[in-house]
Amino acid sequence: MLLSKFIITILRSLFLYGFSYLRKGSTVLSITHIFMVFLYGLCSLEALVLYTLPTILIYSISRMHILLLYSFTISSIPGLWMSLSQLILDTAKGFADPLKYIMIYSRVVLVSLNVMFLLHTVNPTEISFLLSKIKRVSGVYPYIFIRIMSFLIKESAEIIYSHHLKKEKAWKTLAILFIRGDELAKGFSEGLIPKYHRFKPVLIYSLRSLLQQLLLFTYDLAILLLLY
Amino acid sequence: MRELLRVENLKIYAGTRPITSIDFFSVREGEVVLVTGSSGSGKTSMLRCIAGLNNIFGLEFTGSITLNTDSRGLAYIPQEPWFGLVTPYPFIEIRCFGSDGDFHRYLELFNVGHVLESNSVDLSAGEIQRILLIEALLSGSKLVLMDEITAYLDEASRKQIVETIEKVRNESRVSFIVVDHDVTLWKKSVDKVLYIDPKNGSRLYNDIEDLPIIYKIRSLYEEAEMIAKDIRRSSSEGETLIKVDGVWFRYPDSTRYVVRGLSIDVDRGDLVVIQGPSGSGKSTFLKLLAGMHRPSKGKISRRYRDAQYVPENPLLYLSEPTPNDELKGDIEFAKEVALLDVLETPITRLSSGERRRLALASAMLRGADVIFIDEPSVGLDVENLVRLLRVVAKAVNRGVSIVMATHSRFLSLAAKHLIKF
Repeated sequence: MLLSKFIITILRSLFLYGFSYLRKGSTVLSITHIFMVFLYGLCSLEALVLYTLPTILIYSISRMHILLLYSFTISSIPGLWMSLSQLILDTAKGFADPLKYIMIYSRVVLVSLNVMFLLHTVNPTEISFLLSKIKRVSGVYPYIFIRIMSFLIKESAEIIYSHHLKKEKAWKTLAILFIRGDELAKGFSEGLIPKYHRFKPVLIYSLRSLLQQLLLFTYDLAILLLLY
Repeated sequence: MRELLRVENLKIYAGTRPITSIDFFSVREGEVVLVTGSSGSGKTSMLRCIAGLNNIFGLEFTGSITLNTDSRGLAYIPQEPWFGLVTPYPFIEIRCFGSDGDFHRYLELFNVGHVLESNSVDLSAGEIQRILLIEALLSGSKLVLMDEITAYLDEASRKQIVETIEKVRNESRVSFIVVDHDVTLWKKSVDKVLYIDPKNGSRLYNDIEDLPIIYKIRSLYEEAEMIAKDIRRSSSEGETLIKVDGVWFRYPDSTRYVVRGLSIDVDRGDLVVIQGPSGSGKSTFLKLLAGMHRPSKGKISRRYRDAQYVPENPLLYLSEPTPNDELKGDIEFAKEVALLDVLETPITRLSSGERRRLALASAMLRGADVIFIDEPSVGLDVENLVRLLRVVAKAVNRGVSIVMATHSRFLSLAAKHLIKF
């Protein structure tokens, strides 16, 4: 039951709000932001906070704060894992520093939130368009990847929940998950093969989203100049 | 009129196991051909062979399939509609695989404009079917293969699809091969009917009225109606197993409530049917009752010991390699749901209708107090629908409460409580 709810939380943290305007910006600009976070933000917690603040603002002004909430929930898992394992290690050694664990937790959560922000701002049409320049049909791959990922996560939640009610053994549930994985490959081939000849790449951008990303880029540069 | 497709002496095998045989049929420009037959008779396998998908599913065939159009001239809507949508958002799907031609007209006609930018994973099967149809109509294809295109749709949407196909074939000379169990729906719109019978071979008819099974179908419909009425009459007052008190629900990314202040008591032995257009929230309410979602407002009290939940895709419920294992060797029950011939067939090789019957039978066998079933009648021919009704009647009489989301008018007729969305 809990596992099923956890999987639904993962699904929501990644795929809430559909093809929202956040996804209609440039993936290249989003990657620039995450690049700065990893290169400069990791040096200090202050810098990490400063790099994360505008992303929180973007969620808020886009009225997608629920997405932030789900992202925070998911990000807290590695945060708690790392800080608690450090606490256990330190306790075994005979000392404990609460501030240290809070710092570890905050750092992991903030980095994770920025990674989630990248995932929320990936524009699939841009990636598809770029890949289709290599080979036209390659443009389908990013779409089908996102589609299968979201589909598999959603079905996993349903399988786990119905098998839980059925009081089925975990290995049988796992077996069905594998069988379903194989069926998905066949199923989506069935859907795609008859029409992939018709595929034409499209590029969809939103001016508002692009402007927002340019502002974020300018802000990131300003922080860089201010702190380093 | 140019001939687009000719099928001659077709014999289809899954490995060495023969699935079906079709002596002859052809499709000309602007024709609509209905393919019908019992569940598991090989209708889907035939479409897969025509679409060139036989290798993916391990199907082999002898005989000839002559297609007088290139692969661009062929559109295919699979039986499991969610596999037809290969991009994460319907808007991208239509832009990448369709065209901009009558785009908005069709969106309005099929009432799917509001879901264009939704996640594909959040759409109902009926919404996906309509989007795939729009995409096929906009693709400029000459021949459209549709596998149970109306299975997940409500009555009004079904009629709308039949009317649209009629219009498109008259205006653009597009041809359609439609696989469907509901022959009466297509009565006025088809030029030929291919009836597939794996035991006695297939035959082509010019009119639905000429079908040898038409009288049987009608009498089965009458029987279905009778059983449905009996089920409703037999519903008795018992202890309350689920109490729904002013429940509201909305998804986290939406401001619109899908479920609005619903209250209902589900008593022991009740049959509760959730009905409404596709995408209106039937499955969501079923999941709320089953405990998969938590209400946004209101309260659901559950006073039962055991429950079973059979999702829209029945494979997700199954957990054993063969029907025999899934039914724990209960041959009598396998007989009741017509699964005797496939008892040792791997579940992955069962047809959609067989999987649905198996999941249903398996859920009934577990001795649960309540069973939640999503779309139990999809992919079932009328004979199997009657079997389903009999099984439901038996379960209800035994004191099992059944809650189902369905478009079937017979199941709605049998309901003690009908919840309309």
